[in-house]
Amino acid sequence: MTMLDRRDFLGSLAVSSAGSAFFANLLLARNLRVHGTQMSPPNRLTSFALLDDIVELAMTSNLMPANFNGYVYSDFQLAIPGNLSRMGWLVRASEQQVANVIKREKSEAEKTWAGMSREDLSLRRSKVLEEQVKIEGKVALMMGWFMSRGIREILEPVWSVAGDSAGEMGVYQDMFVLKQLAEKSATQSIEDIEDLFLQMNPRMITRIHTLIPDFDDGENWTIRITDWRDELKLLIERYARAYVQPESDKMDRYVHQLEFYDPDDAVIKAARNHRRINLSTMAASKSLYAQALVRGVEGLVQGSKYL
Amino acid sequence: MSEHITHIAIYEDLARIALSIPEICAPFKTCIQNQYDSGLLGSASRGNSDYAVPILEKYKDTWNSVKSDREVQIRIAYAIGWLAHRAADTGFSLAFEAAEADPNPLYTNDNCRVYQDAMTFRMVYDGGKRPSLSPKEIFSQATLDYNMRSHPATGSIDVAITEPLLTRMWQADMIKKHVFLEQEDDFDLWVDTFVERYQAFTEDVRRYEEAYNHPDPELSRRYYDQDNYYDESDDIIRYVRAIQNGQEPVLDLKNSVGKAKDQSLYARVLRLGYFYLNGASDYFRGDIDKPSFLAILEKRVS
Repeated sequence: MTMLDRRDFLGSLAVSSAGSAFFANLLLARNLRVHGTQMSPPNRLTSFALLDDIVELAMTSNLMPANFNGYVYSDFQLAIPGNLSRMGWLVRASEQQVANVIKREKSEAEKTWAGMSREDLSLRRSKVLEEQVKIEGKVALMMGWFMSRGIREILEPVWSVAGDSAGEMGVYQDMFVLKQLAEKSATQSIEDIEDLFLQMNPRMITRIHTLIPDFDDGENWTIRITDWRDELKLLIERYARAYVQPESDKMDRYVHQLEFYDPDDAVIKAARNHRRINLSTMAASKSLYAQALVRGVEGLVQGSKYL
Repeated sequence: MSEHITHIAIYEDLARIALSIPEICAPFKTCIQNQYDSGLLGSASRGNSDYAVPILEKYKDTWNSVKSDREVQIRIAYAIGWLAHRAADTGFSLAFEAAEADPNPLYTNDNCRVYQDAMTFRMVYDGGKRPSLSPKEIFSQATLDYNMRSHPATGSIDVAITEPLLTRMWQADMIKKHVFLEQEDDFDLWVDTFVERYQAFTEDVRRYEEAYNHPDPELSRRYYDQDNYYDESDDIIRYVRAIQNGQEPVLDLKNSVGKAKDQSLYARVLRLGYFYLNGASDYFRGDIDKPSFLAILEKRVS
């Protein structure tokens, strides 16, 4: 079945399935590639998996200049600038605005670190390191914006379709992706998975040391951060259920029919196996995840021009 | 600055004290009981000097008309948590400063904080077997296990892959709770604020795992024994542990607080927190004025 045939097929399937305007809209969004939305982007586990894959592919394939790696290399155990690149999908700006920030911060960094080696700067917890994270972190955040091109252009239009206000699609897609990455063996226990995920939260707070209040609105922030613990618990409950016992019709609707993620896509295989890719083979990617991956790598290469 | 597990342990122990004695005002007890997790988060948050006193000042005279408002209860519980944080930070900093000043390069502030947090986990939470009172703060023996390997789910899912993904999601969740993210129009300012406010991963949890599972004997001697970090025979510690274990505390609290002056560092921090809490309660009830309360908050550990 060609791409066009498949779209037609999926489209007719959508229309014929019991008043599924929601699904029809999804397919429309999938195919129209709606550009940029001003809505606050949803926070999806898939985005972080994708951003890691983008960097993995770009680094393995030597697609970026050497001075680039520090801005996109990420280690969540450590306070390093590149970690900020994983939040670039939260940035809403034009390419010119992003480029201006890179220019400003690069010149700031050069002034600040003139004559200092990386080793000089590596002393953990030093004031120097804090400054480094702030200055280089801004560049990293901007690189994250470039890397998030595929999230903005390919995934968000699918996610923002009206009718999924409960976020069910995101839950199914996230857990499908997680299973591809992290499953060691099948499990029957929703409770165990839920408990494991929830137990990661105090470890996360240990890692950040202390919560930083919203100093513009501190008293109300106490309410929002209190609610956050309920929100995350609710999401984890849904994650655990979708991970262990996904409903087949929902998995079909949110993952398979949309061709959300195909482990046989060449770029996905390359990312999993740490293999080099070239841009021409990437263009043939089928699944949404693979397409967003390609767009992200292209975005990163584009962003590297500003360094 | 002290660490997460120790921050919340001090809050939970102070909450046990608060709920057990008549000196602490009823509104505080209501807020702790109804919004326990907010207090716990407060104890894990920066900003105590910005928010704790203004929140109490705002509601002390209007409590009766707002007392059933969930958001008011959250703010007050948060303020109580912030005071616990203040006691922990000012108290434990004694040990951290001593470590920093030690000419032996082995004894760093960092090592001290990590080792003492691992000990708090062992002594207050019995290595994860005694739970937090918050249903949203879930501990087990896997909490400080290497890659959580004793958790039953780790046979079926890879923690080393899953945890960074969930942790990053929560990191993004937290910055999304700040109003600038949606409201700041000046992009340069937005970027500056983002980098100031995002929750960087400043701590390496593997160091806590190592300190808990394979502590270095020399560091243990220095930070546990020489610093007299924690002594389960101290009366104030026996008092809170009895409550934690579901028993009636038989010891007299005031007497226990008095004796804590010369006891372990953890006991002295609890004593300081007890003063802060009592001062806050007296202030909220109108028994003391603001300058007197502020003076109490300047107390330091003995």
